[in-house]
Amino acid sequence: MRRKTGSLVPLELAICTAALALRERGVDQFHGYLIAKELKDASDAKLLTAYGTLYRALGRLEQMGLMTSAWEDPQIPADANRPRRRLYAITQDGQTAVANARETSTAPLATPRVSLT
Amino acid sequence: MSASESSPRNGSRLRLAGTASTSPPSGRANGAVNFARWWTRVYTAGLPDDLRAARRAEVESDLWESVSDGAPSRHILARLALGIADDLTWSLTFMDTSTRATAKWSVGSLLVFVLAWMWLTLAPESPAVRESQWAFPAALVFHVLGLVLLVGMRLPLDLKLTGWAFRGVPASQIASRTAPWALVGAVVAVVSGMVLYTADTARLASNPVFQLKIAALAAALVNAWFFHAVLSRRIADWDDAAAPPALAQASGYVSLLLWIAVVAGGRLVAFY
Repeated sequence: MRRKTGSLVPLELAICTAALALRERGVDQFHGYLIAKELKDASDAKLLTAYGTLYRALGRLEQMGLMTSAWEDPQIPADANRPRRRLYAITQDGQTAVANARETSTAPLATPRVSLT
Repeated sequence: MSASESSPRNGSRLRLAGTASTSPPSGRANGAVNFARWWTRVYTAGLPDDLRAARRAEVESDLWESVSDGAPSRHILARLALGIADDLTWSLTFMDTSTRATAKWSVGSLLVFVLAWMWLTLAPESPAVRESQWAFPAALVFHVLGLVLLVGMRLPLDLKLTGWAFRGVPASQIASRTAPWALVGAVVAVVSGMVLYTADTARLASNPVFQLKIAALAAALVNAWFFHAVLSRRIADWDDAAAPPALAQASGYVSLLLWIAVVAGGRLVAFY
């Protein structure tokens, strides 16, 4: 998809917005499945975002500096007997990008549950 | 914080079932999960080690969370299917040049085979094409033009591979300059050929010369895939050599023979 430099496609904006919503609820870091659920709940969709679409978008956001990611301490999943999670967090640039997108957008965001204030 | 700071492979063994907090996935969910794992292995196969391990671990984690959350298998499969285009695009972005070329040729060839097979077996008969004063002749003209462009652009490469001509020109240069035009010719020839086929599907499908032409075409496509997806990976080793290696020469001879068969078959179909 062609886009202006620095602009966000709707999915990227929705991910950043959902990340902010999670942060407001005290969740600073999230894994892919968690953000997919957040996106689904926010848009009343029937399905979670596809694996390829979600992780490609998260990769782009990290490349743009709007998200950071790190693999959790191996001891945690070993204790919980589950696969290791890659944890993402929205950066200050990510928050600014959402605020800018919200200012320049004439249409309301697709995620009405999210407050950006 | 970045993914490269620590490898996901340092984590615990990835398992879906047998956790204390969740019941094991059903057989159907297991099938969907295994299919998702298989697909992830396929599209990450040509990627650098770190990237490949990270994506596989990330999908594994997502699958585990999905199953633990009670996601039905159809949801897992739908998430997989809807993301295939993104998986492939993402994967192509990070592949090295030769792996990307191999992947493009492999996926493209497979798609052409599937679509051609579906068209040959399912295409409806169209009296409108047969009886139209312009549709059939126009499709015929485009078919010939497309074939001329395709074979004409393939010929220099075959002559180079056989060692009959272009001795001073690197094969990679010939291939890179002619392949895009050959592709244009192939698209025109195939699309117009599909239109022509609808004019008389039953007669053509049972025509032995047409069957021979299609078989030669399929073999030529496999041969083109072999050159671009396999032989080209080591083309730097023999690009400037006076004589290409035996396999490349064989590919050139086979290509010449097959394209002669395709052109001759196309001309002779009307006589049988």
